[in-house]
Amino acid sequence: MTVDRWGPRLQLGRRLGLAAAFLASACAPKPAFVPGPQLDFSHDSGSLGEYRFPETMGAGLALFDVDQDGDQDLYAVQGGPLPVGPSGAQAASGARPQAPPNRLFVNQGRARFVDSTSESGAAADRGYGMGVAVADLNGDGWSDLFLTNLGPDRLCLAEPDHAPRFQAGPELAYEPNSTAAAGEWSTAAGCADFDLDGDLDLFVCSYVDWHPEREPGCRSGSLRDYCDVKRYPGLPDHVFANDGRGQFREVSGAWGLPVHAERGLGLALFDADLDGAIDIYVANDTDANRLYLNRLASGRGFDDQSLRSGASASSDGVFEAGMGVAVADLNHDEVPDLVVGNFTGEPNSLYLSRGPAVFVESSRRLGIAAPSLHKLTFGIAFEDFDGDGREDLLAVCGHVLRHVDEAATTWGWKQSDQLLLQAVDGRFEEVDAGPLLAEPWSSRGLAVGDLDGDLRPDWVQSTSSGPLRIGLNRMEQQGGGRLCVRLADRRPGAPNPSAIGARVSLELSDGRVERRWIRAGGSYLSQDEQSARFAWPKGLLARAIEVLWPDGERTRHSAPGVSATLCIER
Amino acid sequence: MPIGLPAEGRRAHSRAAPGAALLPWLALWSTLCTLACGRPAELGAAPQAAPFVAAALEREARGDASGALADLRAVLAAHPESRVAWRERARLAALTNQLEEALDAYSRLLAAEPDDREAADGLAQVALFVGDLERAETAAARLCSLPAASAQQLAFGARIAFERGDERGCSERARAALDREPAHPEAHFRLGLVALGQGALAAARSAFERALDSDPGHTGANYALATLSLQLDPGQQEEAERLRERAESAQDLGSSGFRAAPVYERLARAERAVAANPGWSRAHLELARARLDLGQPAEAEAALVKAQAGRPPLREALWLRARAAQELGRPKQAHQWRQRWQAWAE
Repeated sequence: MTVDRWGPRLQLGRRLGLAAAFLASACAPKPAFVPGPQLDFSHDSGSLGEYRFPETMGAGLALFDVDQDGDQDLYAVQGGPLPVGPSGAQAASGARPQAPPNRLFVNQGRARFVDSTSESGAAADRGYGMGVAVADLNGDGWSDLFLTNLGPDRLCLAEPDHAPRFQAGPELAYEPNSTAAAGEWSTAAGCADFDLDGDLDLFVCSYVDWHPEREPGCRSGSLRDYCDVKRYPGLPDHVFANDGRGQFREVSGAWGLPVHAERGLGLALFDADLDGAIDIYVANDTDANRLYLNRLASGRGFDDQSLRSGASASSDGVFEAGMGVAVADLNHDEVPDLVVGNFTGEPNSLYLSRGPAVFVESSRRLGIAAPSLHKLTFGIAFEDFDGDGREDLLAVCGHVLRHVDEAATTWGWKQSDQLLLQAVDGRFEEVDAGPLLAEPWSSRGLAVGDLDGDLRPDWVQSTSSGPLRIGLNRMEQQGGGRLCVRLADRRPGAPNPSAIGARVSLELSDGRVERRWIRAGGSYLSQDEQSARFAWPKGLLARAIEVLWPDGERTRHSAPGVSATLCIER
Repeated sequence: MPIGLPAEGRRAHSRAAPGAALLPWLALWSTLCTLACGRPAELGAAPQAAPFVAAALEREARGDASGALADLRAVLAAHPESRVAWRERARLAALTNQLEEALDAYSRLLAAEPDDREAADGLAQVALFVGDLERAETAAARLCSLPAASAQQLAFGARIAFERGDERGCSERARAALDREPAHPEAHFRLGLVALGQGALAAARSAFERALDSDPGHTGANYALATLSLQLDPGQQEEAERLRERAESAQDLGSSGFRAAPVYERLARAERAVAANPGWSRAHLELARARLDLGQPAEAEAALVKAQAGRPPLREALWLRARAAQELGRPKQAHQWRQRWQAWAE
């Protein structure tokens, strides 16, 4: 009887419950990103439980079109056993024959990747890998790789007739007494035509003077852990000139690069003072960030304008733990604005331009500070993820201390990542982007590009001692459109065929001009897709495209009325 | 960990605590009591806990802050109504990086006594440190609404409002702080940052200059003024470099690494700070502290005279003068300095 009496009610209850669950799932916000394919790659920090400092810094990755089939391939930098010789000292050559290789995953379209490491020669470099920058360095029309290592760095040149295959490029030539010659710890690298001779030169950040036999030994709470970076002295950065054929010689002294023994991790190369020459911004870890203005054309080398720029410290005058860097013209004044990922307890720094090479720290007023205060941000990227015509901010996070939870339970070694969408008033607001970003990892590198060919920006992140994580963008755009612009300089003998350093502007029907830059190197030790990606919302039209080529020439083009990928050549 | 520093004076006033020997028994009893008593009583004086709290503080004075914190946990398990034990536990938890525990202890204190300025201040500071701005703002709002809020507390409230991007709230609190103390450096500095963000460069410069009038070693004001000077007049390179050097030496002396550094290194760094910023009292004080640690009380005393002539006034200078006088064999003078130190607090 009891069953009979309650049975129909229970059934009704179940039905109502199912209906409620269905409605809840239908009304729940859809995740912004869904997981992409899981690749057979796991970062090997080389940890043997001795807490050697390089193990915790992770490695970068690159998105670029290695085989020129139109989609973005993925290059992942690997660590492996630390280059420590039998005596416990650092092996000078940095060579580790048994080390796991860097890996190349070729995109077969729609984000389906095939491991092409063995046939590509991507494994040729056996250094303890840190970062990667991509650019056509010898002007043959194919993208080359510059790899930074704990130990000697490597130039890998593409073999045009055998894509996607690389061969070791010529060794770098160093200035007499250069600290780089000994194979120090390099981190971020980037390429730009500093001397305006047409070909791409090279800037390499150095981190700290690390020797395994001098590892201090530190603790988090009661447990052995990695040491504070301040226990290791910094190193000066280096700049190299290209002879046009991919042979680089160091010109740090010759070009007047200021010598600061600091701990460089992030790099952005862009024209900060709008004089047509590419300047250098270095995010340093607990040292002053640096802005070197390029005065090579007037014979004055690089001019350290860090203090005047307002972009070298926090608004409290503190030198924060700078990691990755990203640029975007948020206030539409042509001067790129900067964001730098920082340590826990330090908000990410947004330096908003207030004229050429002058910035004001605006993290608080634009809403970036509060969400990032409890995060340690490594990789960072500006990108219009939701297609509303405004660039958003993606930050991937993770702590450097393996047992930080012991010291302060508030922060973990693994941390969730953050998506901040830009609103109409220019302020950023953190949003729930779904479980993929909420899942905690100790993330390091970040590269953004369109992996599945739907014009929406996707991302790949590297993790410390973990997998590559791929996020495919599923944010729905109501009307409007997206545009991906790729540049190619096909003039015979053009030394910079992929137009690194160019600026692409899109004029919208409301008069707004959105700007993007084609850059080699960025975020944290990583490389984004080298294209200009735009979006515009419903009710607006894309009117025209202007390209400011690296040599200063401007070309104008009509914009397609619909979403498209466009290749602009000259 | 910039939350708190062990007060030197606390060591001097530590006395033989009668509860010290009973602490292990207290821990056992407390467990039983917690099981038996159930819900904790409201916070109050709890005089029976006082000797145990004093014993814990004595342990801290011997340099064992973590042990003192463990003792206080035991005291509170037995006497959960002891306000003073919660207060010391909150302070010590913050000091030893047990931040969740500190937040909890400060929250309890504030829940029991909403007008508890010290608890609101502590909660706001720890919450800011861990990046919980909403909690920090709740505590700061409470703090700033109290009629007895000090200029320092109002200026800290201004900082939290600034961190949240609330420039109006920041300005209001900074002005309230200046109503209490017209020369308050942090309040002027925050007003300068708000003005800078709004593009009012002359107002920003003026505010930073006022901050430095009161505290020549203010890191942020030195750095901001250096940057602003160069932006307004690129010819001011020398002056800007001088300000930058002051900012960096102030940042150095305020770092956790400075106090942990060997004494000769501290001496060298303090000397550099004095050279960069001769009018800054903190630089002279750190120089004096290093001299005292090296057993050079006469040199320390000379540095302390300069510290007392510099800005801002530092209570610690009085304590160190007592220490120097004692080591110079002038106990009467040492006693007088201690009295002055005590009078400052009162």
